[in-house]
Amino acid sequence: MEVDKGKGEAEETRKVAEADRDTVTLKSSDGKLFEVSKEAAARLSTVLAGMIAGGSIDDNGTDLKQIGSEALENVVDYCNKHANSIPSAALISSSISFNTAPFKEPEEWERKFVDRLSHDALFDLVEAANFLGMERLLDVTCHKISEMMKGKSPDQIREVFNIKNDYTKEELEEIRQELAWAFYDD
Amino acid sequence: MSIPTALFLKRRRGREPGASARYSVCRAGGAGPSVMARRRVRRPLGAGTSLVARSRAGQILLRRRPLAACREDRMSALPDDLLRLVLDRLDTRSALGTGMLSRRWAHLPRELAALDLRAVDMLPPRYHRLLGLYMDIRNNATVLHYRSGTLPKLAVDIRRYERRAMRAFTSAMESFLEGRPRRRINRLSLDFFTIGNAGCCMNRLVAEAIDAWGVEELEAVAKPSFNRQQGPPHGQDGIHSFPSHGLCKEPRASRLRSLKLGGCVLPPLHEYGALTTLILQGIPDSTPVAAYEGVFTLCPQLQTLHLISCSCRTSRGVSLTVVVDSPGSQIRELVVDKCKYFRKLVLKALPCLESVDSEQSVLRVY
Repeated sequence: MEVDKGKGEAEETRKVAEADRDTVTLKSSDGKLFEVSKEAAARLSTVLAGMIAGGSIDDNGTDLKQIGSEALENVVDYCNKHANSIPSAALISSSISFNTAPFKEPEEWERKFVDRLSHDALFDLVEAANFLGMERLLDVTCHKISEMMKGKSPDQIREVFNIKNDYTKEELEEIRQELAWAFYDD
Repeated sequence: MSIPTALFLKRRRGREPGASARYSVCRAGGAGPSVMARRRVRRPLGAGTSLVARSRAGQILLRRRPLAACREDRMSALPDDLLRLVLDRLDTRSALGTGMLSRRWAHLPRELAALDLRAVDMLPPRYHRLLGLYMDIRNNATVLHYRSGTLPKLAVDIRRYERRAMRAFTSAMESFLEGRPRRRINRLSLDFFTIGNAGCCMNRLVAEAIDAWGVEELEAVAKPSFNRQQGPPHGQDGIHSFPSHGLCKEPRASRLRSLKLGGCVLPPLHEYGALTTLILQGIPDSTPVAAYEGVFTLCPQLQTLHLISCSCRTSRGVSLTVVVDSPGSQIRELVVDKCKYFRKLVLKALPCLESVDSEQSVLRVY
Protein backbone atom coordinates (compact mmCIF):
# COMPACT_ATOMS: atom_id res chain seq x y z
CA MET A 1 0.00 0.00 0.00
CA GLU A 2 1.14 3.50 -0.72
CA VAL A 3 0.37 4.50 2.82
CA ASP A 4 3.29 2.48 4.05
CA LYS A 5 5.77 4.53 2.05
CA GLY A 6 4.80 7.73 3.82
CA LYS A 7 4.89 5.99 7.11
CA GLY A 8 8.43 4.80 6.69
CA GLU A 9 9.94 8.11 7.69
CA ALA A 10 7.65 8.58 10.62
CA GLU A 11 8.61 5.21 11.95
CA GLU A 12 12.16 6.29 12.50
CA THR A 13 11.18 9.08 14.83
CA ARG A 14 8.99 6.94 16.93
CA LYS A 15 9.44 3.60 18.55
CA VAL A 16 7.16 1.31 16.75
CA ALA A 17 4.70 -0.82 18.59
CA GLU A 18 3.95 -4.10 16.93
CA ALA A 19 0.39 -3.20 16.20
CA ASP A 20 1.35 0.10 14.66
CA ARG A 21 1.05 -1.13 11.14
CA ASP A 22 -2.64 -1.70 11.21
CA THR A 23 -3.80 0.90 13.68
CA VAL A 24 -4.02 4.66 13.64
CA THR A 25 -3.58 6.88 16.68
CA LEU A 26 -6.08 9.63 17.21
CA LYS A 27 -5.63 12.54 19.57
CA SER A 28 -8.59 14.22 21.20
CA SER A 29 -8.92 17.96 21.82
CA ASP A 30 -7.62 17.47 25.36
CA GLY A 31 -4.58 15.51 24.24
CA LYS A 32 -5.60 11.93 25.01
CA LEU A 33 -4.50 9.25 22.58
CA PHE A 34 -6.66 6.48 21.21
CA GLU A 35 -5.81 3.64 18.89
CA VAL A 36 -8.17 2.25 16.35
CA SER A 37 -7.73 -0.33 13.65
CA LYS A 38 -6.89 1.26 10.37
CA GLU A 39 -9.22 -0.98 8.48
CA ALA A 40 -12.26 -0.10 10.63
CA ALA A 41 -11.43 3.60 10.65
CA ALA A 42 -11.16 3.70 6.88
CA ARG A 43 -14.32 1.72 6.41
CA LEU A 44 -16.49 3.66 8.83
CA SER A 45 -15.24 7.20 8.46
CA THR A 46 -14.88 8.94 5.14
CA VAL A 47 -12.70 11.63 6.72
CA LEU A 48 -10.27 9.15 8.30
CA ALA A 49 -10.25 7.12 5.09
CA GLY A 50 -9.24 10.28 3.23
CA MET A 51 -6.52 11.03 5.77
CA ILE A 52 -5.15 7.50 5.63
CA ALA A 53 -5.15 7.49 1.85
CA GLY A 54 -3.61 10.95 1.76
CA GLY A 55 -0.91 9.97 4.22
CA SER A 56 -1.79 12.72 6.64
CA ILE A 57 -2.01 10.34 9.58
CA ASP A 58 0.41 11.30 12.31
CA ASP A 59 1.90 8.39 14.24
CA ASN A 60 2.20 10.52 17.33
CA GLY A 61 -1.53 10.97 17.27
CA THR A 62 -3.59 12.62 14.57
CA ASP A 63 -5.03 15.77 16.04
CA LEU A 64 -8.79 15.90 16.10
CA LYS A 65 -9.22 19.24 17.78
CA GLN A 66 -12.98 19.28 17.45
CA ILE A 67 -13.53 16.09 19.40
CA GLY A 68 -13.29 15.72 23.15
CA SER A 69 -11.75 12.64 24.72
CA GLU A 70 -15.05 11.21 25.89
CA ALA A 71 -16.61 11.43 22.43
CA LEU A 72 -13.48 10.08 20.78
CA GLU A 73 -13.43 7.19 23.18
CA ASN A 74 -16.98 6.38 22.11
CA VAL A 75 -16.06 6.69 18.45
CA VAL A 76 -13.13 4.31 18.89
CA ASP A 77 -15.26 1.99 20.94
CA TYR A 78 -17.85 1.98 18.19
CA CYS A 79 -15.24 1.26 15.52
CA ASN A 80 -13.87 -1.68 17.52
CA LYS A 81 -17.30 -3.11 18.18
CA HIS A 82 -18.24 -2.66 14.57
CA ALA A 83 -15.15 -4.53 13.48
CA ASN A 84 -16.19 -7.43 15.69
CA SER A 85 -19.77 -7.61 14.57
CA ILE A 86 -20.67 -9.31 11.35
CA PRO A 87 -21.16 -6.71 8.68
CA SER A 88 -24.50 -7.23 7.00
CA ALA A 89 -24.98 -6.39 3.37
CA ALA A 90 -28.62 -5.47 3.75
CA LEU A 91 -27.89 -1.84 2.97
CA ILE A 92 -29.06 -2.36 -0.57
CA SER A 93 -32.74 -1.65 -0.55
CA SER A 94 -35.14 -3.96 -2.29
CA SER A 95 -35.91 -3.33 -5.93
CA ILE A 96 -39.17 -1.48 -5.76
CA SER A 97 -40.94 -0.39 -2.70
CA PHE A 98 -42.41 2.91 -1.82
CA ASN A 99 -40.72 2.90 1.53
CA THR A 100 -37.31 3.07 -0.01
CA ALA A 101 -35.74 3.77 3.34
CA PRO A 102 -32.03 4.11 2.73
CA PHE A 103 -31.60 3.74 6.45
CA LYS A 104 -31.18 0.33 7.97
CA GLU A 105 -32.45 -0.15 11.50
CA PRO A 106 -29.72 -0.19 14.12
CA GLU A 107 -28.63 -3.61 15.18
CA GLU A 108 -29.02 -4.82 18.72
CA TRP A 109 -25.48 -3.96 19.82
CA GLU A 110 -25.70 -0.53 18.22
CA ARG A 111 -28.89 0.14 20.08
CA LYS A 112 -27.25 -0.84 23.36
CA PHE A 113 -24.22 1.20 22.47
CA VAL A 114 -26.17 4.45 22.18
CA ASP A 115 -28.63 3.62 24.94
CA ARG A 116 -25.95 3.69 27.61
CA LEU A 117 -24.77 7.16 26.62
CA SER A 118 -25.67 10.20 28.66
CA HIS A 119 -27.54 13.02 27.02
CA ASP A 120 -24.46 15.15 26.46
CA ALA A 121 -22.35 12.19 25.40
CA LEU A 122 -24.93 11.35 22.77
CA PHE A 123 -24.80 14.81 21.26
CA ASP A 124 -21.00 14.88 21.48
CA LEU A 125 -21.01 11.63 19.57
CA VAL A 126 -23.39 12.99 16.91
CA GLU A 127 -21.10 15.92 16.37
CA ALA A 128 -18.01 13.73 16.29
CA ALA A 129 -19.64 11.35 13.81
CA ASN A 130 -20.61 14.29 11.66
CA PHE A 131 -17.11 15.71 11.79
CA LEU A 132 -15.51 12.39 10.91
CA GLY A 133 -18.04 11.60 8.20
CA MET A 134 -19.18 8.39 9.86
CA GLU A 135 -22.43 7.79 8.10
CA ARG A 136 -23.48 4.68 9.92
CA LEU A 137 -22.75 6.12 13.36
CA LEU A 138 -24.71 9.23 12.40
CA ASP A 139 -27.62 7.03 11.39
CA VAL A 140 -27.54 5.20 14.67
CA THR A 141 -27.25 8.29 16.85
CA CYS A 142 -29.88 10.24 14.92
CA HIS A 143 -32.14 7.25 15.22
CA LYS A 144 -31.67 7.35 18.96
CA ILE A 145 -32.52 11.05 19.10
CA SER A 146 -35.61 10.51 16.99
CA GLU A 147 -36.68 7.75 19.37
CA MET A 148 -36.37 10.19 22.23
CA MET A 149 -38.81 12.46 20.39
CA LYS A 150 -41.33 9.88 19.26
CA GLY A 151 -44.81 10.07 20.68
CA LYS A 152 -44.07 13.23 22.64
CA SER A 153 -45.92 16.52 22.53
CA PRO A 154 -43.94 19.66 21.67
CA ASP A 155 -43.97 20.56 25.36
CA GLN A 156 -42.50 17.22 26.33
CA ILE A 157 -39.85 17.42 23.63
CA ARG A 158 -38.88 20.90 24.78
CA GLU A 159 -38.48 19.55 28.26
CA VAL A 160 -36.36 16.57 27.30
CA PHE A 161 -34.01 18.57 25.11
CA ASN A 162 -34.27 21.80 27.00
CA ILE A 163 -35.45 23.77 24.00
CA LYS A 164 -36.66 27.28 24.76
CA ASN A 165 -39.91 28.30 23.20
CA ASP A 166 -39.24 31.73 21.75
CA TYR A 167 -42.49 32.08 19.82
CA THR A 168 -45.04 34.69 20.65
CA LYS A 169 -48.52 33.44 21.33
CA GLU A 170 -49.74 34.69 17.95
CA GLU A 171 -46.94 33.01 16.04
CA LEU A 172 -47.58 29.77 17.86
CA GLU A 173 -51.24 29.90 16.96
CA GLU A 174 -50.40 30.56 13.32
CA ILE A 175 -48.12 27.54 13.16
CA ARG A 176 -50.62 25.40 14.93
CA GLN A 177 -53.11 26.34 12.21
CA GLU A 178 -50.75 25.39 9.43
CA LEU A 179 -49.87 22.10 11.02
CA ALA A 180 -53.33 21.36 12.32
CA TRP A 181 -53.04 17.78 11.21
CA ALA A 182 -50.09 17.08 13.43
CA PHE A 183 -51.95 18.23 16.50
CA TYR A 184 -55.27 16.66 15.95
CA ASP A 185 -56.29 14.77 19.07
CA ASP A 186 -59.13 12.39 18.92
CA MET B 1 -45.35 17.29 33.69
CA SER B 2 -42.98 19.97 34.74
CA ILE B 3 -45.25 22.73 35.84
CA PRO B 4 -47.40 21.00 38.40
CA THR B 5 -44.32 19.49 40.04
CA ALA B 6 -42.67 22.86 40.07
CA LEU B 7 -45.59 24.55 41.69
CA PHE B 8 -45.85 21.82 44.25
CA LEU B 9 -42.22 22.05 45.22
CA LYS B 10 -42.41 25.78 45.37
CA ARG B 11 -45.28 25.70 47.77
CA ARG B 12 -43.55 23.24 50.02
CA ARG B 13 -40.41 25.32 50.24
CA GLY B 14 -42.10 28.62 49.84
CA ARG B 15 -41.16 29.97 53.25
CA GLU B 16 -37.43 29.42 52.88
CA PRO B 17 -36.28 32.42 50.91
CA GLY B 18 -32.92 30.94 49.91
CA ALA B 19 -34.22 27.64 48.71
CA SER B 20 -36.88 29.24 46.62
CA ALA B 21 -34.45 31.51 44.83
CA ARG B 22 -31.96 28.72 44.21
CA TYR B 23 -34.67 26.50 43.02
CA SER B 24 -35.82 29.01 40.49
CA VAL B 25 -32.32 29.36 39.13
CA CYS B 26 -32.10 25.69 38.59
CA ARG B 27 -35.46 25.56 36.98
CA ALA B 28 -34.58 28.39 34.66
CA GLY B 29 -32.94 25.86 32.36
CA GLY B 30 -35.67 23.31 32.28
CA ALA B 31 -39.01 24.92 33.00
CA GLY B 32 -41.31 26.40 30.43
CA PRO B 33 -40.85 30.10 29.83
CA SER B 34 -44.20 30.97 31.30
CA VAL B 35 -43.12 29.81 34.72
CA MET B 36 -39.88 31.64 34.39
CA ALA B 37 -41.53 34.82 33.31
CA ARG B 38 -43.88 34.83 36.20
CA ARG B 39 -41.14 34.30 38.70
CA ARG B 40 -39.00 36.98 37.18
CA VAL B 41 -41.74 39.52 37.67
CA ARG B 42 -42.01 38.67 41.30
CA ARG B 43 -38.34 38.71 42.12
CA PRO B 44 -35.55 39.48 39.67
CA LEU B 45 -32.63 37.14 40.27
CA GLY B 46 -29.32 38.46 41.45
CA ALA B 47 -26.16 37.37 39.71
CA GLY B 48 -24.82 35.73 42.87
CA THR B 49 -27.68 33.32 43.22
CA SER B 50 -26.59 31.22 40.29
CA LEU B 51 -23.41 30.24 42.13
CA VAL B 52 -25.35 28.24 44.63
CA ALA B 53 -27.38 26.44 42.03
CA ARG B 54 -26.31 23.03 43.29
CA SER B 55 -28.63 23.20 46.23
CA ARG B 56 -30.55 20.44 47.82
CA ALA B 57 -33.60 21.23 45.75
CA GLY B 58 -31.51 21.29 42.62
CA GLN B 59 -30.02 17.89 43.37
CA ILE B 60 -33.37 16.38 44.02
CA LEU B 61 -34.51 17.65 40.66
CA LEU B 62 -31.36 16.39 39.01
CA ARG B 63 -31.83 12.98 40.45
CA ARG B 64 -35.48 12.77 39.64
CA ARG B 65 -35.34 13.89 36.08
CA PRO B 66 -31.83 13.64 34.77
CA LEU B 67 -32.89 14.70 31.28
CA ALA B 68 -34.52 17.91 32.37
CA ALA B 69 -31.66 19.13 34.51
CA CYS B 70 -30.10 22.50 33.86
CA ARG B 71 -28.11 22.24 30.69
CA GLU B 72 -27.85 23.80 27.33
CA ASP B 73 -29.95 22.98 24.33
CA ARG B 74 -27.63 20.65 22.46
CA MET B 75 -30.30 19.68 19.98
CA SER B 76 -31.03 23.11 18.52
CA ALA B 77 -27.29 23.68 18.25
CA LEU B 78 -26.97 20.90 15.69
CA PRO B 79 -26.72 22.01 12.07
CA ASP B 80 -29.82 21.79 9.88
CA ASP B 81 -28.73 18.75 7.94
CA LEU B 82 -28.32 16.72 11.11
CA LEU B 83 -31.70 17.83 12.38
CA ARG B 84 -33.13 16.76 9.04
CA LEU B 85 -31.59 13.33 9.55
CA VAL B 86 -33.44 13.14 12.84
CA LEU B 87 -36.73 14.36 11.37
CA ASP B 88 -36.50 11.88 8.50
CA ARG B 89 -36.70 9.11 11.05
CA LEU B 90 -39.86 10.42 12.63
CA ASP B 91 -43.36 9.77 11.38
CA THR B 92 -44.76 12.68 9.41
CA ARG B 93 -47.02 13.93 12.16
CA SER B 94 -44.30 14.10 14.78
CA ALA B 95 -41.89 15.61 12.28
CA LEU B 96 -44.34 18.34 11.32
CA GLY B 97 -45.04 18.92 15.00
CA THR B 98 -41.44 19.94 15.65
CA GLY B 99 -42.19 23.22 13.90
CA MET B 100 -43.86 24.21 17.14
CA LEU B 101 -40.73 23.80 19.26
CA SER B 102 -39.06 27.14 18.64
CA ARG B 103 -38.12 29.56 15.88
CA ARG B 104 -35.01 27.54 15.24
CA TRP B 105 -37.25 24.70 14.13
CA ALA B 106 -39.90 26.61 12.22
CA HIS B 107 -38.53 26.10 8.72
CA LEU B 108 -37.50 22.46 9.13
CA PRO B 109 -40.90 20.78 8.72
CA ARG B 110 -41.39 22.62 5.44
CA GLU B 111 -38.24 20.99 4.17
CA LEU B 112 -39.28 17.43 4.90
CA ALA B 113 -38.48 15.33 1.86
CA ALA B 114 -41.15 12.73 2.48
CA LEU B 115 -44.69 13.08 3.73
CA ASP B 116 -47.13 10.40 4.79
CA LEU B 117 -50.56 11.94 5.01
CA ARG B 118 -52.98 9.33 6.22
CA ALA B 119 -56.60 9.85 7.13
CA VAL B 120 -56.42 6.66 9.17
CA ASP B 121 -54.23 8.48 11.66
CA MET B 122 -57.25 10.60 12.50
CA LEU B 123 -59.24 7.60 13.69
CA PRO B 124 -59.35 6.97 17.43
CA PRO B 125 -58.45 3.55 18.85
CA ARG B 126 -62.12 3.04 19.59
CA TYR B 127 -62.83 2.95 15.87
CA HIS B 128 -60.55 -0.02 15.41
CA ARG B 129 -62.09 -1.77 18.39
CA LEU B 130 -65.58 -1.32 16.96
CA LEU B 131 -64.46 -2.51 13.56
CA GLY B 132 -62.91 -5.61 15.12
CA LEU B 133 -66.04 -6.30 17.07
CA TYR B 134 -68.20 -5.89 13.99
CA MET B 135 -66.15 -8.37 12.00
CA ASP B 136 -66.04 -10.76 14.90
CA ILE B 137 -69.81 -10.81 15.32
CA ARG B 138 -70.44 -10.99 11.62
CA ASN B 139 -68.03 -13.81 10.98
CA ASN B 140 -68.81 -16.02 13.94
CA ALA B 141 -72.17 -14.81 15.04
CA THR B 142 -72.81 -16.78 18.20
CA VAL B 143 -76.05 -16.59 20.07
CA LEU B 144 -74.32 -14.87 22.95
CA HIS B 145 -72.96 -12.07 20.85
CA TYR B 146 -75.67 -11.68 18.39
CA ARG B 147 -78.61 -9.56 19.23
CA SER B 148 -80.69 -8.18 16.47
CA GLY B 149 -79.75 -4.58 15.85
CA THR B 150 -76.23 -4.87 17.20
CA LEU B 151 -74.58 -4.93 13.83
CA PRO B 152 -76.44 -1.98 12.29
CA LYS B 153 -75.78 0.03 15.42
CA LEU B 154 -72.09 -0.74 15.27
CA ALA B 155 -72.05 0.16 11.60
CA VAL B 156 -73.59 3.55 12.34
CA ASP B 157 -70.87 4.29 14.90
CA ILE B 158 -68.12 3.12 12.59
CA ARG B 159 -69.37 5.29 9.77
CA ARG B 160 -69.66 8.26 12.07
CA TYR B 161 -66.02 7.91 13.13
CA GLU B 162 -64.94 7.72 9.52
CA ARG B 163 -66.90 10.80 8.54
CA ARG B 164 -65.50 12.73 11.47
CA ALA B 165 -61.96 11.64 10.77
CA MET B 166 -62.28 12.56 7.12
CA ARG B 167 -63.73 15.99 7.98
CA ALA B 168 -60.82 16.67 10.30
CA PHE B 169 -58.35 15.35 7.73
CA THR B 170 -59.82 17.48 4.94
CA SER B 171 -59.72 20.65 6.98
CA ALA B 172 -56.19 19.88 8.12
CA MET B 173 -55.14 19.39 4.51
CA GLU B 174 -56.87 22.63 3.51
CA SER B 175 -54.80 24.54 6.02
CA PHE B 176 -51.75 22.59 4.96
CA LEU B 177 -52.27 23.89 1.42
CA GLU B 178 -53.36 27.36 2.43
CA GLY B 179 -51.15 30.13 1.18
CA ARG B 180 -49.42 27.51 -0.99
CA PRO B 181 -46.24 27.35 1.06
CA ARG B 182 -43.14 26.47 -0.92
CA ARG B 183 -42.13 22.90 -0.38
CA ARG B 184 -39.77 20.48 -1.98
CA ILE B 185 -40.94 16.96 -1.52
CA ASN B 186 -39.60 13.75 -2.96
CA ARG B 187 -42.16 11.32 -1.73
CA LEU B 188 -45.79 11.82 -0.87
CA SER B 189 -48.00 9.09 0.36
CA LEU B 190 -51.64 9.96 0.76
CA ASP B 191 -54.48 7.77 1.82
CA PHE B 192 -58.02 8.74 2.49
CA PHE B 193 -61.62 7.62 2.59
CA THR B 194 -63.96 8.48 -0.22
CA ILE B 195 -66.58 10.20 1.85
CA GLY B 196 -68.57 13.27 0.94
CA ASN B 197 -66.66 15.87 -1.00
CA ALA B 198 -63.26 15.10 0.50
CA GLY B 199 -62.11 14.07 -2.98
CA CYS B 200 -61.85 17.69 -4.15
CA CYS B 201 -59.33 18.54 -1.47
CA MET B 202 -57.35 15.37 -2.16
CA ASN B 203 -57.23 16.22 -5.87
CA ARG B 204 -55.90 19.66 -5.06
CA LEU B 205 -53.28 18.14 -2.80
CA VAL B 206 -52.15 15.69 -5.48
CA ALA B 207 -52.04 18.41 -8.14
CA GLU B 208 -50.07 20.73 -5.88
CA ALA B 209 -47.68 17.94 -5.00
CA ILE B 210 -46.90 17.18 -8.64
CA ASP B 211 -47.00 20.71 -10.05
CA ALA B 212 -45.50 22.75 -7.25
CA TRP B 213 -43.65 20.46 -4.86
CA GLY B 214 -41.93 18.40 -7.54
CA VAL B 215 -42.88 15.03 -6.07
CA GLU B 216 -41.03 12.09 -7.58
CA GLU B 217 -42.79 9.27 -5.80
CA LEU B 218 -46.48 9.55 -5.26
CA GLU B 219 -48.88 7.18 -3.66
CA ALA B 220 -52.57 8.07 -3.59
CA VAL B 221 -54.85 5.42 -2.21
CA ALA B 222 -58.56 5.98 -1.81
CA LYS B 223 -60.40 3.63 0.47
CA PRO B 224 -64.11 3.07 0.30
CA SER B 225 -65.92 4.01 3.46
CA PHE B 226 -67.24 1.29 5.71
CA ASN B 227 -70.72 0.89 4.25
CA ARG B 228 -69.26 0.65 0.74
CA GLN B 229 -66.94 -2.08 1.84
CA GLN B 230 -69.87 -4.03 3.16
CA GLY B 231 -72.07 -3.51 0.13
CA PRO B 232 -71.75 -5.24 -3.24
CA PRO B 233 -68.39 -4.48 -4.82
CA HIS B 234 -69.89 -3.31 -8.06
CA GLY B 235 -70.42 0.19 -9.42
CA GLN B 236 -68.84 3.59 -9.09
CA ASP B 237 -69.70 4.27 -5.45
CA GLY B 238 -66.79 4.62 -3.10
CA ILE B 239 -64.40 4.99 -6.02
CA HIS B 240 -62.36 8.15 -6.16
CA SER B 241 -62.04 10.03 -9.40
CA PHE B 242 -59.46 12.59 -10.37
CA PRO B 243 -60.40 15.60 -12.49
CA SER B 244 -61.00 14.81 -16.14
CA HIS B 245 -57.78 16.57 -17.20
CA GLY B 246 -55.75 14.24 -15.03
CA LEU B 247 -53.77 14.29 -11.83
CA CYS B 248 -52.23 17.72 -12.27
CA LYS B 249 -52.06 20.73 -14.56
CA GLU B 250 -48.67 20.26 -16.13
CA PRO B 251 -47.94 16.57 -16.45
CA ARG B 252 -45.18 17.12 -19.01
CA ALA B 253 -43.17 19.19 -16.56
CA SER B 254 -43.59 16.73 -13.72
CA ARG B 255 -40.76 14.83 -12.07
CA LEU B 256 -42.97 11.89 -11.22
CA ARG B 257 -40.96 8.68 -11.41
CA SER B 258 -43.06 6.33 -9.42
CA LEU B 259 -46.79 6.31 -8.97
CA LYS B 260 -49.19 4.18 -7.04
CA LEU B 261 -52.90 4.70 -7.40
CA GLY B 262 -55.51 2.84 -5.47
CA GLY B 263 -59.29 2.76 -5.43
CA CYS B 264 -59.72 5.32 -8.14
CA VAL B 265 -60.75 5.70 -11.75
CA LEU B 266 -57.68 5.45 -13.95
CA PRO B 267 -56.63 8.99 -14.93
CA PRO B 268 -54.73 9.70 -18.17
CA LEU B 269 -51.06 8.96 -17.53
CA HIS B 270 -49.42 9.10 -20.96
CA GLU B 271 -47.97 12.57 -20.49
CA TYR B 272 -45.82 11.73 -17.48
CA GLY B 273 -42.61 11.29 -19.37
CA ALA B 274 -40.44 10.50 -16.34
CA LEU B 275 -42.75 7.83 -14.97
CA THR B 276 -41.06 4.45 -14.86
CA THR B 277 -42.90 2.63 -12.10
CA LEU B 278 -46.64 2.31 -11.93
CA ILE B 279 -48.68 0.39 -9.40
CA LEU B 280 -52.41 0.20 -9.84
CA GLN B 281 -54.47 -1.27 -7.06
CA GLY B 282 -58.20 -1.71 -6.79
CA ILE B 283 -58.99 -0.08 -10.11
CA PRO B 284 -62.73 -0.56 -10.55
CA ASP B 285 -64.75 -2.79 -12.85
CA SER B 286 -65.97 0.05 -14.94
CA THR B 287 -62.51 0.82 -16.29
CA PRO B 288 -62.63 0.24 -20.05
CA VAL B 289 -60.33 -2.29 -21.65
CA ALA B 290 -58.79 0.52 -23.68
CA ALA B 291 -57.64 2.29 -20.50
CA TYR B 292 -55.58 -0.72 -19.42
CA GLU B 293 -54.25 -1.26 -22.90
CA GLY B 294 -53.38 2.42 -23.02
CA VAL B 295 -51.14 2.06 -19.99
CA PHE B 296 -49.01 -0.38 -21.99
CA THR B 297 -49.05 1.40 -25.30
CA LEU B 298 -49.18 5.08 -24.37
CA CYS B 299 -46.58 5.06 -21.57
CA PRO B 300 -43.62 3.55 -23.43
CA GLN B 301 -41.14 4.64 -20.76
CA LEU B 302 -42.72 2.44 -18.07
CA GLN B 303 -40.36 -0.22 -16.75
CA THR B 304 -42.32 -1.67 -13.90
CA LEU B 305 -46.03 -2.25 -13.83
CA HIS B 306 -48.05 -3.88 -11.08
CA LEU B 307 -51.75 -4.55 -11.41
CA ILE B 308 -53.21 -5.57 -8.08
CA SER B 309 -56.90 -6.33 -7.57
CA CYS B 310 -57.74 -4.52 -10.77
CA SER B 311 -60.80 -5.51 -12.66
CA CYS B 312 -62.43 -5.01 -15.96
CA ARG B 313 -66.04 -6.07 -16.36
CA THR B 314 -69.14 -5.00 -18.17
CA SER B 315 -72.03 -3.63 -16.16
CA ARG B 316 -73.54 -7.11 -16.25
CA GLY B 317 -70.49 -8.54 -14.59
CA VAL B 318 -68.92 -10.19 -17.63
CA SER B 319 -65.12 -10.18 -17.34
CA LEU B 320 -63.25 -8.82 -20.33
CA THR B 321 -59.99 -9.65 -22.04
CA VAL B 322 -57.15 -7.15 -22.15
CA VAL B 323 -54.76 -7.54 -25.04
CA VAL B 324 -51.30 -6.08 -24.72
CA ASP B 325 -49.58 -5.37 -27.99
CA SER B 326 -46.91 -2.79 -27.44
CA PRO B 327 -43.69 -3.32 -29.39
CA GLY B 328 -42.31 0.01 -28.16
CA SER B 329 -42.83 -0.71 -24.49
CA GLN B 330 -39.90 -0.89 -22.10
CA ILE B 331 -41.71 -2.80 -19.40
CA ARG B 332 -39.32 -5.20 -17.71
CA GLU B 333 -41.30 -6.25 -14.71
CA LEU B 334 -44.97 -7.08 -14.77
CA VAL B 335 -46.95 -8.25 -11.78
CA VAL B 336 -50.59 -9.23 -12.05
CA ASP B 337 -52.04 -10.12 -8.70
CA LYS B 338 -55.58 -10.86 -7.52
CA CYS B 339 -57.05 -9.55 -10.74
CA LYS B 340 -59.79 -12.15 -10.84
CA TYR B 341 -62.08 -10.01 -12.93
CA PHE B 342 -59.80 -9.92 -15.89
CA ARG B 343 -60.99 -12.65 -18.13
CA LYS B 344 -57.57 -12.81 -19.67
CA LEU B 345 -54.54 -10.64 -19.99
CA VAL B 346 -53.02 -11.50 -23.32
CA LEU B 347 -49.42 -10.45 -23.84
CA LYS B 348 -48.63 -10.23 -27.53
CA ALA B 349 -45.67 -7.91 -27.62
CA LEU B 350 -43.66 -6.64 -24.68
CA PRO B 351 -40.09 -6.84 -25.94
CA CYS B 352 -38.20 -5.85 -22.79
CA LEU B 353 -40.10 -8.07 -20.39
CA GLU B 354 -37.78 -9.81 -17.95
CA SER B 355 -40.03 -10.99 -15.18
CA VAL B 356 -43.70 -11.80 -14.95
CA ASP B 357 -45.43 -12.65 -11.74
CA SER B 358 -49.03 -13.64 -12.04
CA GLU B 359 -51.71 -16.19 -11.52
CA GLN B 360 -51.40 -18.51 -14.49
CA SER B 361 -55.07 -18.57 -15.30
CA VAL B 362 -55.25 -14.90 -16.10
CA LEU B 363 -52.19 -14.42 -18.18
CA ARG B 364 -51.57 -15.67 -21.69
CA VAL B 365 -48.28 -15.03 -23.36
CA TYR B 366 -47.96 -15.26 -27.10
